[in-house]
Amino acid sequence: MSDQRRRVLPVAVAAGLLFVFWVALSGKLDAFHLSLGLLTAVAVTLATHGLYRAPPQPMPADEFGRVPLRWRHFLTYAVWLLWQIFRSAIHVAKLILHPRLPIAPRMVRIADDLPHPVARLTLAHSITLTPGTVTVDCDDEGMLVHAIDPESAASLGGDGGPMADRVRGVFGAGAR
Amino acid sequence: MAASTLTEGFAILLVAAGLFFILAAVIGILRLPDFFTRLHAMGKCDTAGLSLSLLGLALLADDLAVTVKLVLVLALVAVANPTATHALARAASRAGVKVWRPDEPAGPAGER
Repeated sequence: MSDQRRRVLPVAVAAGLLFVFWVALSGKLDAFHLSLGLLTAVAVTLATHGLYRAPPQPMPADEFGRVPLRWRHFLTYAVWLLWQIFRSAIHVAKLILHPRLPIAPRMVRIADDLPHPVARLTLAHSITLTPGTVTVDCDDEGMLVHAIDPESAASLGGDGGPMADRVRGVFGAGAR
Repeated sequence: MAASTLTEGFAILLVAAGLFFILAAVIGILRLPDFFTRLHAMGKCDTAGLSLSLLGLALLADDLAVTVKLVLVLALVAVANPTATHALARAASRAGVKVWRPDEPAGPAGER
């Protein structure tokens, strides 16, 4: 009984939150829209709750119990990343619209020595968002990256290059 | 009035830039030779294009509720698009899709 409740409760809470979100966005309180929202909330919850079974690995805390995320570095990084995304789109658009289509794609392997899963996830997503590179796969030794031209591949170096240094900066000095 | 005209002009610039990137992404899907290079077009040009046009539309909306909704869609695109790009790339890599080399003729995505 209590086991069943433990499984049903998170689903009910998630569906409830989704329903509140629906009402807030639609702003309509008549029976039709409310029942539509309730149906949608329940359907979405049932369809997706299986995806959340494995809890994400928590970030390791330092001796005072704090997570070593450095906010100033994080904000600088976020702004830099937004700029990179914009540059990335311009870079790819230029390649696409160039009459000779000057691409020379290749797979490159990079080694990373980042301290924990969240930092590695950040690096992997950042590589995907920056010019000419998409992270393809990731294992214990490093990451597999698809680069659209040699310059993009070279910008990563063998270990993520300047981007890995920035991610290290965000996640604290103990990172290296 | 002057301020609202300025906002409007800026918003139109954003939407126009966004449409340019979406057009580039579509041309990229047609011109690029293989699955992975096409992913670059979708993952980068499309994300930038959608974000810019949504930002422009959010500025143009009269209703604050509409602006908030557009910004929420923007956040969803910003998170979901790179994630989907990566998921597709990984699935293709594990399924053995080969990387196109410049000395090969361009073929349909995923052709060995």
